[in-house]
Amino acid sequence: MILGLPDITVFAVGGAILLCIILLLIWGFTFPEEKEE
Amino acid sequence: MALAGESTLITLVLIAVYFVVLLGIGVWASKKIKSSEDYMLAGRSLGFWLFTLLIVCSICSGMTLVGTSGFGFASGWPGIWEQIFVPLSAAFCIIFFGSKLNKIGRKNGCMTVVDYFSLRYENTRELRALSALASIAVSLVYLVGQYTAISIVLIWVFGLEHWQALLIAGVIITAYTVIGGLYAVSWTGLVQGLILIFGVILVAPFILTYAGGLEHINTVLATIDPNLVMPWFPSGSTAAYAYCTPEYLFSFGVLLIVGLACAPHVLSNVFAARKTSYFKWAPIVAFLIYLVIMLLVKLCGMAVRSMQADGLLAGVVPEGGKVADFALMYGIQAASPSILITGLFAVIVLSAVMSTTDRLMLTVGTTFSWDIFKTMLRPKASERQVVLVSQICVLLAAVISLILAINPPEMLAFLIWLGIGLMLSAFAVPMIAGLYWRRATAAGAISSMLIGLITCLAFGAYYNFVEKLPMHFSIYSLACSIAAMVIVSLITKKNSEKALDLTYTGMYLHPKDKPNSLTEESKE
Repeated sequence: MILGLPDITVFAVGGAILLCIILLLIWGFTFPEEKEE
Repeated sequence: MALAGESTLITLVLIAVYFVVLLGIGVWASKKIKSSEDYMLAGRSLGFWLFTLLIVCSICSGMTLVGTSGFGFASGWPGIWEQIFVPLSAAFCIIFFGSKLNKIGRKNGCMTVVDYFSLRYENTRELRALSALASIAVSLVYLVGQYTAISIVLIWVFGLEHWQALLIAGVIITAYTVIGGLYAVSWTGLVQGLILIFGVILVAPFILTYAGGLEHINTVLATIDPNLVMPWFPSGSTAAYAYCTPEYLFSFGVLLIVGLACAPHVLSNVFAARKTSYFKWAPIVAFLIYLVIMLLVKLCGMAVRSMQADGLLAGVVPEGGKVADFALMYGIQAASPSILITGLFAVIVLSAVMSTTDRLMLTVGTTFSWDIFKTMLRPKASERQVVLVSQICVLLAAVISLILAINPPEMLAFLIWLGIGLMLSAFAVPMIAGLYWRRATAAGAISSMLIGLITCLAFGAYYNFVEKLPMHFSIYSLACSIAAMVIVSLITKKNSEKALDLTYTGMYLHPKDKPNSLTEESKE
């Protein structure tokens, strides 16, 4: 229990947010560099 | 219910200053407008922060503050997914639509989503008319909800009559939107976005601390109902819980992430970014900014529920008053150590609501003036005439939605959800299939749009008047829309390779610089 929340809530919500951040970081780092016109 | 005395005076001054700043931006922006592209897309010149905040502000509606805190108050942690889905919609819009649409717009002069449809599907009349009308109708439904939310704030602050509140807000927003177009909307969006971000970060700790801290709030919530601290409500539970079961949350996720990303007033913004390289970090920046704001607001809603259970709202909530709708307002009124904070808070809520309202009005105006007036009715109209028609339409959109908002329909909340459901059912499939499936055809797009709209209304009516469904009604109409697109596209003639190449159609996210057909053409 963290901050009065059951573990399942902490893992589900925290995990989802972390996953989103990781995926968005991957998008950023793999974005192709190109010359702007 | 309303604030009183000295508090009103300070709030009035703060709001007056805020309105003057907005109008000032409108006047300044009006001097930059030389063409319809300037008016509709700010000359495709938005820098990274202006663009990213414009996307966040377009999504960030009255529901963000008023609705989100109310939702947190009513459903506790199972409702927290809304705070992940909505910020994700900004990222989804930029990643899946932004990179391609921005480039297509720049190379082919597309100014609106309808322009893109017409180029990709090589159909200028039926699809254009249908998508323009759908876009205007959906935006108007959404606008009524926004004006009503603005009115809730002004009534709370000043104790004004509903119509007076609407008139004040309507005049200010319409003034800067009519004269300044997207330049004004994006720059006021920047101001509104900054007020919102720093305001919520400043105000939320007061409420959370006053309620006794996060651990105490969660403990109290668990005492009220153990389900309020779980990540979702149990499946197949009673109707009161039905909106946060795992299956409902799945449909809710699709609705918010994809539906909001497809909303014309959100999607149009990707045409206005100066460079496609902004789409590299804009998704995570928009996601994180919005996530922090939304999470804090949701936690405040839960805090107010805990405050109510602890008897901390005595003297703030009028007898018999509904707390959920005004959760955040009551929370700050009870917790604020200073009337200045309360005044600031009124400006924060107004910023959130107004930032979507202006974008919606501009979308209605530009859709009519460009997609219907310029392209279908008067192709020879001058730039000046197009801008003038846009301005008249923004004015008309304001008048119509204000009249509707004076007597808001009883089912307002349902109408707002219906509005997002319609955006998902009408635009998601033609947009995604258009960008990623080379076999998608104009007939497929028209039928998926029509069937999506009709079945969304049908399932919505069934959900509202007959019986509740296990998932949000728009997920069923989305399935119908997908089926229509696939079946009709496969039995009709494929679009030309030239149109498909020009619009970077295919299973890739990053468009290449020179499509094959263009290279071949230039060789010829």
